[in-house]
Amino acid sequence: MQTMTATRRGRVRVNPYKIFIVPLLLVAAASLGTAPATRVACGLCEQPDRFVRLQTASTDSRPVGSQGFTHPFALSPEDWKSILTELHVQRQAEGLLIPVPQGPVLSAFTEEEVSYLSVTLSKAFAQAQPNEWVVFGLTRSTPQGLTELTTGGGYVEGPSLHVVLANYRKVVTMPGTRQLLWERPLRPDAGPAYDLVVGNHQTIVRESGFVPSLLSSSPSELAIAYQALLLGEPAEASVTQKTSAANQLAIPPSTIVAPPLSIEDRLQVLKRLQAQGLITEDEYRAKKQQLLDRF
Amino acid sequence: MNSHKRNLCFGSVIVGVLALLSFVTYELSMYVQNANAIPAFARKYGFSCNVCHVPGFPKLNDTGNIFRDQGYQLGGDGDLPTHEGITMGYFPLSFRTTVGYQAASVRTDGSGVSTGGFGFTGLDILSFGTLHRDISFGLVFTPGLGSAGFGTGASDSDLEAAFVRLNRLERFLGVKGESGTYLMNLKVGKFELDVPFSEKRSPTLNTPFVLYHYVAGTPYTATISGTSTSSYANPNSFAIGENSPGIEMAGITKTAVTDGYFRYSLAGLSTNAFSGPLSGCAGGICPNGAVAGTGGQNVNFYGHMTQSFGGYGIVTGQRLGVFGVYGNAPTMVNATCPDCQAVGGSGQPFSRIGADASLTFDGQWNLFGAFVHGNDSKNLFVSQAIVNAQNASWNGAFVELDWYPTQLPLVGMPGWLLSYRYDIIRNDRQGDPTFAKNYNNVDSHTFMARYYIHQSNRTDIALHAEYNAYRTEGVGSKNVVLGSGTCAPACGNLLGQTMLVGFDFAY
Repeated sequence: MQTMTATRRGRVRVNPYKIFIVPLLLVAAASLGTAPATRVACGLCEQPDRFVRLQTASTDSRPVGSQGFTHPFALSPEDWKSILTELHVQRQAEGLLIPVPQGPVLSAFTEEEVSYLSVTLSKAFAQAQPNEWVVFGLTRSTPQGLTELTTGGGYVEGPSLHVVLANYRKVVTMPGTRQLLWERPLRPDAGPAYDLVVGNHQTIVRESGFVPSLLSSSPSELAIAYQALLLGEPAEASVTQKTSAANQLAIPPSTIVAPPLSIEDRLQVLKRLQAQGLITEDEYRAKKQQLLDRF
Repeated sequence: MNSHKRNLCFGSVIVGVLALLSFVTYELSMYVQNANAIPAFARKYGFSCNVCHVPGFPKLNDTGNIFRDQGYQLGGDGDLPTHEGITMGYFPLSFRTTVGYQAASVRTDGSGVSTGGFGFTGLDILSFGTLHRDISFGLVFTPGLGSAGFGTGASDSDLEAAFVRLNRLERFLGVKGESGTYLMNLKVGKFELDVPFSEKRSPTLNTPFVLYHYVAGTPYTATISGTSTSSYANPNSFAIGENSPGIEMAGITKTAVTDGYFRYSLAGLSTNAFSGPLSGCAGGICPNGAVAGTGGQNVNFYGHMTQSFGGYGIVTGQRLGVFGVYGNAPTMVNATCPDCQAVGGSGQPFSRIGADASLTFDGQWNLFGAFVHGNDSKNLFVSQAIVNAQNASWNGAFVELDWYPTQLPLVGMPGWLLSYRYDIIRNDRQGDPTFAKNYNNVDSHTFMARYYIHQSNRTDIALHAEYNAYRTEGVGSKNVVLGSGTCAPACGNLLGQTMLVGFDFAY
């Protein structure tokens, strides 16, 4: 128990309102943000324990450029399955006093999750508008009966499919936290403990800046050259950062390499991309000739 | 008057600093509560802090309470300190303090005292965890720091808690419970009692739960020294809000009928003071035939039982409970009347009995409170030479409403905890009959806002703002009619305010 000494100064009037209101308003003004507008993409997309939906860009997400996203975007469930199985995560390095290396590289989604997402993402992206993200949320139970949440989203910008994992396998116990992440799936809750790992035809893109670095952790964002990935073209993984060079990435380029597709598979993918309007007739012919020349 | 203006001017400057930096704390050092938040657990399990806490820590949510009740175990192999999944980066050690600006003012008998300044509260060094499966431990060390209490008073160095807890002892009796059942858990050492609502984990930092600390005869003043108050001596210093050395058997089990939990705790507590020796009685022969001798160590008993419905009762579901204390308080030697202790006897009884309730709504609202009736034996006061002493009895209660919205309306901000608490004490009878019945009645109002600036699986930091205003009746030292002289039976009230704005962080 401590004893405070003091001098006699007479009566002091303390105005609580000033003390409280000013900082609260400051914090509030600095963090304005409401739940973004969303719309349902399909019946299968909205389930009690998982969802895929469309969401307009908000304070939680990267702003849409003047051109907007390249939406709507059509890929078949099979193509989405190919893309999703190529996504990997790795636990971030940590350690209080002793540095601890990153965890093992893991597939980002289970087979069951890939099955669900490939169908629903295909439908959602096909309906997405240029100002809309496609966002998703997944849950699973731990052996201890706790609930883990994974949330994130994606968009297509030119030849790149961008994927953000805002929360990965986050244990959530407060109903309010779950509701919040369900409403704002692109908002990282308590910083990511996992990062997306760079694979073939994938590039890490991470927003950085003083305020986000100080007050919150930005989730990693992966840009995927989806056409090359679907065609199974060999490519070197690379890591880039959009801003602050001082903010070094913790994720080194990984050596995840997908097994090469057969010439038959590549021709089928190419045909599918042309049929979906993702490549022009001329591009289709040129690429097909390239493949046949290799054969 | 000039000093008044200077203070107001000073306050304006402080408000300006607040506006620029959001960095002003106003707190009362004397009643800064040591509160627990243990990021080491977050590091161990890879959780964010809100897995176990409501926004803004340190208040535990349902999961955090169950984790604590289970001896800091989730029930899997990951609980073991030697589990391969636990990295070398984990060490069961956490630190916590609050930095900012504090000030307080108190007024009685026509004059006031105030103080304020930047600084920090003190430092908690916390270590909790498991030594092995179903063997838990806890340590809380507060180092003595000369500049603690915002530079106004050194803190005492103390091991506030030190215990070992053996969990699920029912296994050795052949009792097999369902997963999540921890029926018999034995704790030995010094620890926080299973009070209805933990003060150590309360989000209010500089305002105590009055009924947890109330002592009949001792003016309640969350105040700085230098104020003049009247009092009568009560050798019973037991307070359920203070950590106590002892032994505790506690348990928790799910109750399918209520879709909730039944919890209990029974503790035997030793006082760290002795009664006697009964010195002063010439030749060992005291008045009324009492025999002088050593009083010995006294043991107190505390119990608490709760039953929840539809959840644990803090974030989901509702909870009801009863609690009580029965003990013998040591009657320490009264230097001015050595014989009086012998007349009163060595250890004299006191009791507390109460009930508590916790209601939740929508996972965002928690209305909770407790009521207690306290009684202290008249012999406690006899030992202090109070003429015509009588049993002291009083009633105390508090009710608190916590709101942790998913997102703050209008601005859509998550991470807030807003709280209001009302504490009340009403005396039935004073141990010293010359004091008025309403002497030391307390009314206390506390407002608190707390914002989770940042949390991770490593750290917590919250912006904290708290304001408390209280009134303690009739504890001035001057006669309100005459302006001087003996206080009783009509004394002035004590009015106090405390404020705190600062950053509360744990690592």
